[in-house]
Amino acid sequence: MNDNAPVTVIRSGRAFTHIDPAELWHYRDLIRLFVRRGFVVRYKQTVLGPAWLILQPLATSLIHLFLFGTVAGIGTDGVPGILFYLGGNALWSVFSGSFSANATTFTANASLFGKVYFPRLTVPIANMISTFLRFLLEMGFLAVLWVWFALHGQVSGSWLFFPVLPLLLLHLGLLGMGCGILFSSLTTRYRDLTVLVSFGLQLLMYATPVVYPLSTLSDSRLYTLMLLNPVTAPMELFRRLLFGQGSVVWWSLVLSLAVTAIVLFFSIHVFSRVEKTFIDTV
Amino acid sequence: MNNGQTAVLAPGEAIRVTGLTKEYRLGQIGSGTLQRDLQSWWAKARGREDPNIRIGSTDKARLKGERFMALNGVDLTVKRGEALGIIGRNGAGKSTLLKILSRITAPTEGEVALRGRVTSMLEVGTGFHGDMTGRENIYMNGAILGMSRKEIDTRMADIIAFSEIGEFIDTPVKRYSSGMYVKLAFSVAAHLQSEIMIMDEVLAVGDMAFQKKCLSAMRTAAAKEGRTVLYVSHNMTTIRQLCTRCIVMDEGRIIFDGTPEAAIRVYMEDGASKTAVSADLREAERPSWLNGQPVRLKAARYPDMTSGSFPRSTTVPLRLEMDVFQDLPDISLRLEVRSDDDVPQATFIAYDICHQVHAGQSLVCEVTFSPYQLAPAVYHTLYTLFSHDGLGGQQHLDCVTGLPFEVQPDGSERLHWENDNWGYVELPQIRTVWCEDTDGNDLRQPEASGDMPAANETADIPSAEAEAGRKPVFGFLSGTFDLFHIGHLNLIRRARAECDHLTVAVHDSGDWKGKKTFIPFEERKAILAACRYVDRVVDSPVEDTDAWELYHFDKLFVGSDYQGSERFTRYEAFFRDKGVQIIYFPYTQSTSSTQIREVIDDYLKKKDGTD
Repeated sequence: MNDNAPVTVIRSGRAFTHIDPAELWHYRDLIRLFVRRGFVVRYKQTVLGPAWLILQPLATSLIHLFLFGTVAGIGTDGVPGILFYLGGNALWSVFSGSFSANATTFTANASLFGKVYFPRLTVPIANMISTFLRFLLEMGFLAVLWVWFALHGQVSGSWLFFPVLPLLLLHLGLLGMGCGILFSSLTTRYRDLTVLVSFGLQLLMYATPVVYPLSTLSDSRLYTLMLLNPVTAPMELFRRLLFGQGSVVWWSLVLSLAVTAIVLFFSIHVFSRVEKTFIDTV
Repeated sequence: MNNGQTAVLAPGEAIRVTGLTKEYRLGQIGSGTLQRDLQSWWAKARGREDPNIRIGSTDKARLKGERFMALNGVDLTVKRGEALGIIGRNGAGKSTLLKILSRITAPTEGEVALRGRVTSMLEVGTGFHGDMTGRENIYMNGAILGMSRKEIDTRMADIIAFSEIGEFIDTPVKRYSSGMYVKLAFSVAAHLQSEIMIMDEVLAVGDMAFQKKCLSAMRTAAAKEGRTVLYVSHNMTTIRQLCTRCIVMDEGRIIFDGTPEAAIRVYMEDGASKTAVSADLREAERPSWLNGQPVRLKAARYPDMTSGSFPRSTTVPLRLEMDVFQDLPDISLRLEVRSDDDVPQATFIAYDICHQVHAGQSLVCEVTFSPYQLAPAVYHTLYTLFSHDGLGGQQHLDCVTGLPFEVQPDGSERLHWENDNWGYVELPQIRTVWCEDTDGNDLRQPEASGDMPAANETADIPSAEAEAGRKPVFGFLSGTFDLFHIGHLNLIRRARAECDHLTVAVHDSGDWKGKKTFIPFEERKAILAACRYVDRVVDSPVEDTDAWELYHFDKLFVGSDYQGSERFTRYEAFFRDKGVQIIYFPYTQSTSSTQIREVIDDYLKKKDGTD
């Protein structure tokens, strides 16, 4: 309560804006609570509760194992099928989860944003962290299976996996979040984009080596196109380190990092402009 | 939003707003779908006409018509520790101003500088999630408002105590009543360590006791802790109670800045100047319960008046035009008066404005009403036409929102009327009959005695009180007054001529004198109360000396037949040093109750004998 308290200046939304990291840090408790609330609210009043976190990806992977492994007969580069699909789905969901959860940031939180100020970026960051936590849970389950297969000599990984994994996560998480908030900024004006998100993500998944290894396309014209997909390189790197199989193309990885940086910068800029006045339009 | 620019705030200032405007575009922003916007963009890029523009409107005109300035150049400086009230009609820009100050939306132009943290409570319970418990929601709500976990932990006990939630704190909030919900939400915000608190009608819910608690908490925050409070409300009482300064907003501008009292007056007058003198009611909305419409009001007007604002002593003419679609025995009007929060406050009724009307007739009628009992304020009205059967039943013919009016003070008011505490109707003044101290000194104000009904109504009796400065004389007379007769009346009339105010005490029964009464006690009192010479009727104690202890009279009147009796000898001794005069009126045998009773007894005896 003195004249030394920090002064905030509010100006027109047209001015160039930037994100204030110090302010985000101040609201770290809020991010933590958003993450917690996401989990608590999701599994309250459900029969199986948090068990869903494992059951859902497991069921998906079993379906993939049946459809792509058994019926279509697409190979897995010698990696045990269930491990291949579980790992691929887990990493894919870091990107797709960050994307889809954030694509509705503004419209889903309109009532909250309309009543009180806090750094809006806390919501996407919390969503991203939630996907990390879900990923780690799935990885815990995967680790058990991995050890069992490793003891039978069917899979072997690299110790490099542990230092690289956090970087991979952050990379895909930020890419997903960037795309998500870009979409959410646009959906404040164009509602029809919401429909596109889930559909587009589905398509993108098949354009990414999630349920098949990149090596199956090595002699196809699609190969280079696949390498332009920013999710391809991290996915292959992940498999290489975890299962010992995967085609890592370095220029593709660098491109992926560059795309992430550009998307993130651009999306945050758009987001911080939209957050100032979106409440007038929704 | 840049931090660290202290230059814009002088020391001691908490908020400085300069040249703030906020423009809204009415209707949709863009066309709402990507396809159409792309179409428009493509057309523009090729230099063609926009295919999505509305036909018959040029681009320029459309933009002009759809723009709305919610704030139109607001400049405001608030000092630290001030409690600033913001009042104005709906749409005046109050909420927009608060939204910009609490950073929910950005201004179109202008700048705001705020010193310190801002807590906004534009709506309570923000961020509350039904599935989480009260405690979890406190953390959540606190974090949203910018508190750290540690800060919340240190205040948790205070917050729970203030909220009065008690043991329910670990229950999911979806099981809370709305009152509990609000209390919890307010408690979190009130315990926040912020320099600036922004509130928009948060106190609308919650019980009275809690509202008071909140107000005093906010006052303390402003006065003792040096926090700055901004408060928007339509409740003038809370504005008066909380604020040290108040601004009035209208059409996006600040039109007044000063003390709360002055601001409220400006706000009220502003509302009055907008009261129309006529209204077209043909297209006005009718309530859904209206069953058919045998009569339709077409227009209402205050004829020969320049505004719908008038002193309360005015007799207001009201002219109504209506069409009749059904034969009706009569039409009556109910003019229902509502305060500006739309709560019914009083009703004027005009029974049987017209008789025997027929379908197809068009009527014009003029009625008058006198709003002298309504406290000064702006009122809305509802005109209800009905036909009544004289037995309490009624048929509604039409019902429509009528002309508002404002009652102005007419100068006779000695108080500023507080609608929120006293209601909107001032009942007829209570008259003071008398008031004196234990020594018998009259304590009424000289002019107040002029209000005495007895003095005004008994014009043929010399009213000595009218002579200024003389102390009025209080007389007292007791009796059973059974079978009230001319003798009683003579006694009372003569007694009243000897004093300025006569109290008559009635014995409830004649038992103490060994006599039975014919007329019930309450009826005897009613007869006396109806007598113009009697100013007051009371229950009599057995002894007049006891009565004196109660009523402190100056003169005791009694019939001369009591003179010399044991009882009155005792009374004379008692009253000698009390300054009370005992006046014996000549006793006339022919008018005594005893004699009448004897006549009746004789008659009854004879009747019994002949049977």
